[in-house]
Amino acid sequence: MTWLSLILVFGTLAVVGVGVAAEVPDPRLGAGEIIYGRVPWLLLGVLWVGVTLAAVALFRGRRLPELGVLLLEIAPVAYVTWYVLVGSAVPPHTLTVDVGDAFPGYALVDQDGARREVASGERRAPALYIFYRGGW
Amino acid sequence: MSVHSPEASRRVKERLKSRFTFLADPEGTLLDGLGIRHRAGRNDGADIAYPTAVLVDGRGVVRWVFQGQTYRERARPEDIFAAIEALPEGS
Repeated sequence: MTWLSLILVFGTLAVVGVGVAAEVPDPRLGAGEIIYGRVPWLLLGVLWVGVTLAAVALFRGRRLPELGVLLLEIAPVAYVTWYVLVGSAVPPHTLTVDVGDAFPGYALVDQDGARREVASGERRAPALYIFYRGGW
Repeated sequence: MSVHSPEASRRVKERLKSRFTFLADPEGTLLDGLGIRHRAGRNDGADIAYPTAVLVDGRGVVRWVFQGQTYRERARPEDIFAAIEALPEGS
């Protein structure tokens, strides 16, 4: 049971961790689980089942290795749980344009330094603006 | 669209072999126009955007928006494509 617990917790963390690092776009394995899932319940469920198994093993065995495994698992699982439930929430804010409103005009430069300017309400090719949240 | 410099964006565009335009908004002027400036939201204390996506039609009218409730979230590709498909004819 202790081995199963270790495999569930650290195996899952390894798969998701490698998936995030490698930008695997699979919702179950990597970045998608963290990026798209508002709360990745499957991930949390597997991790906490693993921790529960470690706790049961300790209750049954009451030996030092079982205690060590439980302590080893509880910190990363608690951190991941905090991160997805609380730590990654953005402060409340209100988008000031709604569907049907005019998109604001702008005068910016692109990646080559070329000026890109559009006035509010000006005709243009339809465009999707993705505001990147992160560092590159 | 990001708050990074054009040079940083060009490197990312080349690395990803992306055909998208990467607009640089280091001052966050458009973030203010949309109310999505997260002050001191970056680890280094700089301002950054709240995760947002906006689809604008050919008349400059907003047709679809996505707002993440956490900074992990991004708009799902299938939602974006559905919004594009739903654009009025000729827009």
